[in-house]
Amino acid sequence: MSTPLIEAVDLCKYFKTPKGMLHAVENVSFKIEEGKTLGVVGESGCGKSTLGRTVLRLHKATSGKVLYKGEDVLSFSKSEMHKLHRNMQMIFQDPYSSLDPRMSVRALISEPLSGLPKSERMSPAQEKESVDHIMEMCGLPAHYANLYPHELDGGMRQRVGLARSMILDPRFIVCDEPVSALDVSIQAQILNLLMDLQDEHKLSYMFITHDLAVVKHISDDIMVMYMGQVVEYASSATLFANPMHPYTVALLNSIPTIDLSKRNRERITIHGEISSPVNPKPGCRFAPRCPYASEECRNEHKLVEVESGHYAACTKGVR
Amino acid sequence: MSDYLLEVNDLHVQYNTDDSVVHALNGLNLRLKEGEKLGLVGETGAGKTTLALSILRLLPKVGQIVSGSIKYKGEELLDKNEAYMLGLRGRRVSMIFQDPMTSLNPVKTVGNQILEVLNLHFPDLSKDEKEKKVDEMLQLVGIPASRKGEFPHQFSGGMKQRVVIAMALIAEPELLLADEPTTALDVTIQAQIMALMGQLKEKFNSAVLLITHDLGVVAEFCDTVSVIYAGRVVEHGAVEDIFMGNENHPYTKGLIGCIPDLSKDEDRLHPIPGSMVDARSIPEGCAFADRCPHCMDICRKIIPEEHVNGTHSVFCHLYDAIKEGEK
Repeated sequence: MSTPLIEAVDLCKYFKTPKGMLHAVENVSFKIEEGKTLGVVGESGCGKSTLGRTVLRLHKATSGKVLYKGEDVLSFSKSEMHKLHRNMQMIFQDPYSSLDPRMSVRALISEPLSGLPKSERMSPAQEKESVDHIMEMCGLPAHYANLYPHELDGGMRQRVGLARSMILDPRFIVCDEPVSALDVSIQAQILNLLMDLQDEHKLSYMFITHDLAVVKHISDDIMVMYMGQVVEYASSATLFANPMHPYTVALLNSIPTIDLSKRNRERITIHGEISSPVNPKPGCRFAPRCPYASEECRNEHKLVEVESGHYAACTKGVR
Repeated sequence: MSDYLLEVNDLHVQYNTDDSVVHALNGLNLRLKEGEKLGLVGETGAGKTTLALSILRLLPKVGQIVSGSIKYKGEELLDKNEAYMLGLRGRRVSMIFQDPMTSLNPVKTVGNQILEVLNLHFPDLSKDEKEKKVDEMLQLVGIPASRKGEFPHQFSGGMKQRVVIAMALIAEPELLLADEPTTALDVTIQAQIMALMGQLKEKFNSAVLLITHDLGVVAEFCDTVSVIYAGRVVEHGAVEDIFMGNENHPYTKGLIGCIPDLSKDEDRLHPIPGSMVDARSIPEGCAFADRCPHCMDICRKIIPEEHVNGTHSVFCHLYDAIKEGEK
């Protein structure tokens, strides 16, 4: 079997807070093959953004490994990391705050090129050509080059963010809620663009979102997180067809649908709210809200391969 | 006496800024019966929030109601003075704002903020009665009454939104304007809040105007739907007309097509090309013409008439053409 492009092994990230250790990401493992997308789903505060940042080493991992083509990224030196970041990029959620308001679109997109080593620097003419090319690829009209972020709408800003991360020709992009701030019509444009770029460049994505409809559409595999733990991990089709963890089941059931025949479906509402991830108790963290929780749930949390390629920490959600 | 609780006719609202005039509402019509749950759907900048603020006469200073009428129980609201509006707001018509994080006062306890509504609108109640009502209301929205002495920052997003709902409902209003009440929340919490709003609606029989961009929420919660684009209603009907009918406005079709369908395996989404029209220069004719796949010459000249079919009405020239063809 070939080495996956990105692999995480038992990755943990804790933050120190005045009240104790905040377990943001706990024992997360996954693999992303070249040209594939891993969707990471969960509610706000479940650690999905922290996971994305830890994989890119924007946060220092507490323990565990991140492998890029089989090499442990967490042991890289600063200069090796600098090189690696050309291949690993990120797109942020908020297209309004992730662009410097005082830079023109052209300056924003060409900025990453200035970090290249001297031997690879482009001449101004080459640089212009490469920015023009990327802009066209990301669906930005050429005359936008001299505009500033405040003159663009949300969709166009997100395209600029994407162009910025694409200009170094990366292999892997962490997309942190790239479409949540956009209207549905614009959201669909950006999702199509992401998929086209993936096909053309064999890109791999880690797609972080709380929107399950979006994640199903774009992902090959999906990982469901709850308070830092992975509760279920399977291929997109399997997860939607056969969810097993009670949390996944409730999450899928909560998606409002425009299909009126489902209007009177039996609803599985989960009560209560996410508790605090500071000094969490052992066992399943969903247990306090789970309708099926029993004593054993408060002791152990372990992902088990229930069928080929389908991992779940609990199968009590199956009817 | 009018049949409708709320009747908005040909409403034009604009924002006058230093260098331009933004036409937010351009001849908007809306009808809402008692106890009805109407979903108002549209993209950012379509004028949804402006409508709610116009009804309550809470537009910011730069906002101006140019023409039109807003009738509440047959009475013209635009002629009323501020004192009358004060008695209406929060008592007979109340509003839930989009962002629960910013719509609560951070330096007042949650209990006192709810109490404020009673002090204003029910000054005759005794202190004990008021306290009792606050406790009951908190319990109803799923917050233990023991937490009423806490401040907003001690609550999570979902709980803050429940406090806002408690404030909006404690006076048992006849009409509730809910402006994106669940947009800032996670899906499981959204499901809880929508279920709660449904129960409360049953309990008080309030009419609800639900403003949202999420068609899924509308399909699950509302009885009727109005789709608005560039400050005008382009389609109105019962949820069945909108989501199961086949005579949709091209814009509504576009919106529905943008949502990834969970039951199908499709590779590409079908976005609406282009983006929302610039409200500073609304084009002649149908505002959607530039983005419409069926645009004809007439669309750029004349604003389409209403085509009524039972409970369903569409404003689109496409249906003129079809009807002409049938003749």
